[in-house]
Amino acid sequence: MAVQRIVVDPITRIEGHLRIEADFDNGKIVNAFSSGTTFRGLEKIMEGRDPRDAWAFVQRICGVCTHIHAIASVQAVEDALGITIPKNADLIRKIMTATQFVQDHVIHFYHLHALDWVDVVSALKADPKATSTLAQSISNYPKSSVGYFTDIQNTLKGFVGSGQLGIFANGYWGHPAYKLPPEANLMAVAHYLEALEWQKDIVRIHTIFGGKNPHPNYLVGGMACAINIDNDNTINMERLDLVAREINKAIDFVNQVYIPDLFAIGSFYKDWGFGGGVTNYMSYGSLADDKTRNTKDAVFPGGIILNRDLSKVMDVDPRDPEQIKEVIDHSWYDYTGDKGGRHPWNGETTVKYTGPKPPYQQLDTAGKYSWIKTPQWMGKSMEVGPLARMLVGYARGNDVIKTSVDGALQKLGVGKESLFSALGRTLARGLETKIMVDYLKTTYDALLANIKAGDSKVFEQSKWDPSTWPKTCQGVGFTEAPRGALAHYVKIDNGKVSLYQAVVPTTWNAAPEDQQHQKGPYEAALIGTPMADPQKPLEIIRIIHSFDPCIACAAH
Amino acid sequence: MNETFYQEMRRKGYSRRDFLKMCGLLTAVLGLEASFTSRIANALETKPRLPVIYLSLQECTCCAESFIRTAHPLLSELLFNMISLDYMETLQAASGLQAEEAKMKTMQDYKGHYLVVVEGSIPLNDDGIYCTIGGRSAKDILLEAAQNSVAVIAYGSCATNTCVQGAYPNPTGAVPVKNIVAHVPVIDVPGCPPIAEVIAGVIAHYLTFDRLPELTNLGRPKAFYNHRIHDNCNRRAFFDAGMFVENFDDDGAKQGWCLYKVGCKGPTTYNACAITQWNNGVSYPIKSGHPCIGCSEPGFYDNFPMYEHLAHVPITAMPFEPDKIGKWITGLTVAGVAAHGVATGVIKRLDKEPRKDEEAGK
Amino acid sequence: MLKKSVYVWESPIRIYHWVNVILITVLVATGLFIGDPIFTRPGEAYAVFIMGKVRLWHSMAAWLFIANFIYRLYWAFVGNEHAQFKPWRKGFVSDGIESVKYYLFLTKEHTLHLGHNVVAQLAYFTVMWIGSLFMILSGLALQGEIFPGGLQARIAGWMIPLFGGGSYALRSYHHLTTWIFIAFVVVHLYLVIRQDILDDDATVSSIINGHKFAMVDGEDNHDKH
Ligand code: HEM
Ligand code: HEM
Ligand code: NFV
Ligand code: SF4
Ligand code: SF4
Ligand code: F3S
Ligand SMILES: [Mg+2]
Repeated sequence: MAVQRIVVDPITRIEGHLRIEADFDNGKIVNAFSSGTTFRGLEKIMEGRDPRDAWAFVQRICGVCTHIHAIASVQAVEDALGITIPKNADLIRKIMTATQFVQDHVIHFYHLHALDWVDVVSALKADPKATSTLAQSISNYPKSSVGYFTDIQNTLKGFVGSGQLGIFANGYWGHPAYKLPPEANLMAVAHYLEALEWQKDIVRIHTIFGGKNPHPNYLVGGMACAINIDNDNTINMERLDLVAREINKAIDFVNQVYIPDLFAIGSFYKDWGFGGGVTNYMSYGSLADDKTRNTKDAVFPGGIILNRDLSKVMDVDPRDPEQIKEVIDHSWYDYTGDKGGRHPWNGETTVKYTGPKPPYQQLDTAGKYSWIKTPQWMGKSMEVGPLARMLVGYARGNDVIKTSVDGALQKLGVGKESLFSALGRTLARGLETKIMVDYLKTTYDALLANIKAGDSKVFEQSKWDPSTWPKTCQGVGFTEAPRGALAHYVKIDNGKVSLYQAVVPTTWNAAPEDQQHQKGPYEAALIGTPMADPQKPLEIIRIIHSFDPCIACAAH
Repeated sequence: MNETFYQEMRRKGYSRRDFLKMCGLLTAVLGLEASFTSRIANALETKPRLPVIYLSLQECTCCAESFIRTAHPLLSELLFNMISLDYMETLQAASGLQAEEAKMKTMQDYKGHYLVVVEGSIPLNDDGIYCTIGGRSAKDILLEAAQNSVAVIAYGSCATNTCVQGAYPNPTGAVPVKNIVAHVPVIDVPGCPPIAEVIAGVIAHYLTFDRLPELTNLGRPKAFYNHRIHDNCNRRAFFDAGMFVENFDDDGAKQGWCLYKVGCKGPTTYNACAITQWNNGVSYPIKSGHPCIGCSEPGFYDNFPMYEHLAHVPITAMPFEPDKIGKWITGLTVAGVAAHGVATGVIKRLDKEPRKDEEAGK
Repeated sequence: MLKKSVYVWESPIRIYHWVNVILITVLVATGLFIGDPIFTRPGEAYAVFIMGKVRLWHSMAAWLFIANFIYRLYWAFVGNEHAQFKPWRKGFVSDGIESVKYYLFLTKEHTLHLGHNVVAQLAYFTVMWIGSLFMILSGLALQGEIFPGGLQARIAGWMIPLFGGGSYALRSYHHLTTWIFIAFVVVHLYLVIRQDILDDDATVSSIINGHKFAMVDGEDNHDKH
């Protein structure tokens, strides 16, 4: 049989518009192309604006990982202007970052990824009693009675029976790649609904400090939420108590629902070892101590791993023009002059579309085929994200991460090599969510201790006024976003932004190939995967979802 | 609304017996116990849930994120009891062809009876290459879905005013939904994003009262967008008193004073934030100390710098604020007048001199 | 040169003029304060009401300003020839060109008008008529925002979508036009005083007592310096 081109567009249950074209031959994917099909031009729009306003624009790069772009942006501007933010502001930002991780990862697991592993229709056949037994055997989560699961199942039956399947319509139900017994499916469906209800609560931590979620508010130089424990219109005990309550609920939810489900579902799929992809991993590191600012021993350590070799970690420096470069060999952009890779401080976003005019059936994958650029570290494609963070942390010997990863592998009864797969990514995401809820608690305690010690400062005023700024300067804000390494680069000229470049986690992961046909992480992960039915792309979306794509992020 | 499935069967000449038999078959196919037949029959006899097609175009998905945070109604109530969300890329199980088929089916089966919710703007430059789904342009997709819908809800600032991507110089030529959809009502529900309970409320309003909500002169539901933030702001007493935060984290800030002088756009922003508040009534930007940035208003991203009361002259993207322009106008006027005065004096003197000469010459 | 005293400004015009001077001064001062409230006062919010008062004064002055505007509009129909503005009259354009030339020092010929010359009329027309009308409509629209569906909103609510940038844009233009009024006053005072000095025709006092001096010799009033 000739090679068959499979097109999956839209890839759903992700953020944004991703198109996958894959060549299918002999039951397997033999080549794959990842294309981001939307572009907004935010980097261009930033030019000429007040750097203090930048966060509000670039935060809108994405509403799913809302918050993290704003953080990268204020950090970039603070880096350029030489501002050190007050301790309270640093702690609040860290609490908000951890909150973002927890909410985003839980949503991803249940609402974006679960239906790749969980067959909703099979849940109709489950015995609620057996489901209850299963649930109680893995967790002490209180909602686990027979009655509870019976109710959920009846709701589901009524729903399916109505003939209007809504978001579940046309799913790949009954596909041979689904492996869970009906009871596990029913439990997962119940927790799909629980998670939906819970996630709206945890983000209230953002609402307290940033006024709303999605898209809370920030400030170059600190935070805008004044702390005055003796005032009714500021951060006071009632506000902090709400934060504490949500943190406790989050700890319970992650420990009693997410983590047990992850292992329960994972144990049925541990043989499905596909989706490994590129073998290089990168983390910038984040949540470092505010004094040392050393990302190597941060909560998420920074570093590079090549060829899956966990015995060696290299350092990564986002400022180094030799290390980080974006190439555009297969992206719809042009560079003036030298067409080679560019470090972001020297970056450029000039569109040059060469693809087919819509409506089209197929992209010209020999030429340019995506709105996503191709970032590289020392000329190599890098996978970023939870798996990269866990691997780098492991290789750096970070205790928390090491214990967590070793424990998980032991529990599943698999070796380290199992991590290099779609499932490995999904596991890593769960493990770091657990690390993040614990971190939420300790950081909250640190904030309280600092306020108790008499410090209520949240904003550094000294460099607010543009007249105090150097005539020209440049900065970078780098951090870890839920989906991986994120960096914003800014240049400021006479008080105005003269260049803005964002290199975003999904830019790394969803990148098209480079001139030497070195594949991007999505593309590489798909190659070699067998498909039961090329018309039903369940295996493709499974692997792609394991990265948690965000295309608005990737192409901005 | 649409006829029920039962009514449709009767119209096609089937008897109630046939209908119940079919329900029994369906029960078996779905692998449910026989007792379930009556429930299914009941579901098929009552009004179908309102089919909703949710289009994500050129956007950041924060509107969808906000949508799933709704506390009343809860999203699960909305999805299971009120609407049938037949297409929403962010949540639906099916991808690719299967996803597109689900949408086509709803558009055919519920012609004239489904609601379209649009998140995102429509980039028109260069044949729409800046946002394609399934190889088709956002404009095509929107026009097709809107054509036989009851109404289109333009949800979020991208869909109502193009949000950030429409900010100067609007590189992709983004336009809001109302510039594209002409033949069905368009309801603007702006905000970046809108409050969860507001979007859910607009849908629930339509379902409960069987009519579209009344709109303000800006085309937004009165029920949520009738007042400015400023009119219901918790810091309003400080505004009237003239007690302002002069700098972030100053004494005024620590007393919760008004944020007007650090650029609050509450006085020119219509939204429900100050009343409904965010994330189930916890707070809203101003309450948490940051000025409102006017995220529900047209062109709000060109009304910056953000931390000034009135900044650039709107729409023009001129980098001048009214007071700066005003001072220039006045300064130039004074200078012009002074120059004219001097010129008058000089010319008058020159005028007189020749006259003297003439007189002398005589 | 013989001059005779002519009654130019009827008392309603003079009253209008001085009421307007007071109101515009109040509106500009309170308006600019609203835009940039430079004093703040500590204390308890319930006991202080600075911004509220300034807004109240602005609003009260605004209503009087509207009344005065309508009153002047009425006099444009019933008043004497100097109270009227008729761009369609014969010679309006040529007079205008003459006046521009005069102010650009291109000619020393100067048509002495008992009322205002055409340039002055045009300036008054754009700033005082169009400008005031804009301030009134935009001001009413801004006021209408406080009472959705109320009188002001019904009269002028359409102004908000008109400018495409919503309420913020309208407010900015209301603010910007304030400066046009300020610039107008500067030019106005200059021209009035200059006229008085050059032609010695009692222009300044005319707006107080109504009388100006005019040449006795003839209808066309050409004066050579
Ligand atoms: C807010 C300030 C002022 C405004 C808006 C203003 C406006 C006007 C207007 C609209 C007229 C034309 C009268 C009409 O046709 O209805 C006028 C005439 C006049 N104003 Fe004012 N005025 C102002 C201040 C003053 C002051 C302070 C003086 C005194 C020095 C003054 C002296 C005059 C005189 C002498 C005339 C008659 C001008 C002529 O013969 O062309 N004005 N003014
Ligand atoms: C010559 C006439 C006027 C001038 C120079 C003037 C000037 C101003 C200025 C500078 C502002 C501040 C705008 C800002 O920065 O936010 C303002 C606000 C305002 N003006 Fe006027 N204005 C005039 C006439 C009017 C009229 C006729 C009305 C109403 C009928 C009016 C109603 C308002 C209102 C409601 C506000 C907003 C005040 C608030 O609620 O905060 N104005 N005006
Ligand atoms: N990629 C990405 Fe984001 C994340 N996490 C950004 O920094 O999702 Ni929208
Ligand atoms: S309106 Fe704002 S929040 Fe909604 S999609 Fe657009 S940018 Fe995102
Ligand atoms: S904080 Fe903003 S909305 Fe609130 S009273 Fe002050 S100016 Fe108005
Ligand atoms: S910024 Fe937006 S969220 Fe509300 S308070 Fe202002 S409209
Ligand atoms: Mg970029």
